[in-house]
Amino acid sequence: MKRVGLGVLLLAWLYGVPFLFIVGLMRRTSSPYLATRAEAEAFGATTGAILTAALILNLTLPLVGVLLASLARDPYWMRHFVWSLAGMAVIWVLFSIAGNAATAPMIGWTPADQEPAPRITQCIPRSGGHGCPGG
Amino acid sequence: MCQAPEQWQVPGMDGVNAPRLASFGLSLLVALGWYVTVTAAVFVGRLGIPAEPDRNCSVLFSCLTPQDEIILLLIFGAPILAGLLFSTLLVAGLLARWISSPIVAGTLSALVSVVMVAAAGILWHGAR
Repeated sequence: MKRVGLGVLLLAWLYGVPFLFIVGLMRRTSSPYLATRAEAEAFGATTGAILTAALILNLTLPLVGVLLASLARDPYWMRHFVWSLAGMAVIWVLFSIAGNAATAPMIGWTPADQEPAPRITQCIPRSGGHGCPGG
Repeated sequence: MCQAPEQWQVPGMDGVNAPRLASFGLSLLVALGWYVTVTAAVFVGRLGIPAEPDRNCSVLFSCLTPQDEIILLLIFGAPILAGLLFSTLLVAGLLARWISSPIVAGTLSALVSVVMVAAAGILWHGAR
């Protein structure tokens, strides 16, 4: 039972973290059609949350695995989780390369939206303000 | 699946074929798991990206839904997928002899197969 749990933990890291990174990076590099500013902010927030979850799981799952495998005195899974620390570092390096290549921050980015900028349609003269054209 | 951990415990300690065979099958499963994971991730990522509602869809294949793209991939990518599966079988069979861990062997064979298929694609493209 213990071994199955450790195996599930390793597979969760092995498949789950790349899954989250692929989804997050696809969203981050896409140019989505978002009608309003609020939609764009929500899209950016979800993307950031996915990438944050991927980074946190990438850090914690191998460390928890090493801890649990050493507590369970399981040399087979211990070896796997020690190697997964190397995989964790590789994923970290790949993510920071992607982060360096991007112009905006990876987490906390907001895509462009289609909301038209408010236009000034009428001019109200104020004392001390700018003059109105034709007035 | 409940039998597997006991077999993993002493991988290749005895010269019997059974653990080796199990190791090959599990490596293959791990490699297939990679393909499924990556495909599912691309699909889910693609679903989450909203497209422009009133874009020009008069050209064929210009406005595909993610579901259509998966079906097209299965139809037109079938030779590539078959090549990928075949090379995975081959590489997993080779690696399972040397690497006792099916997780490592499966991951490596998926990686090597993708590189092999990509290299074959580049060579084929260059030869035309």
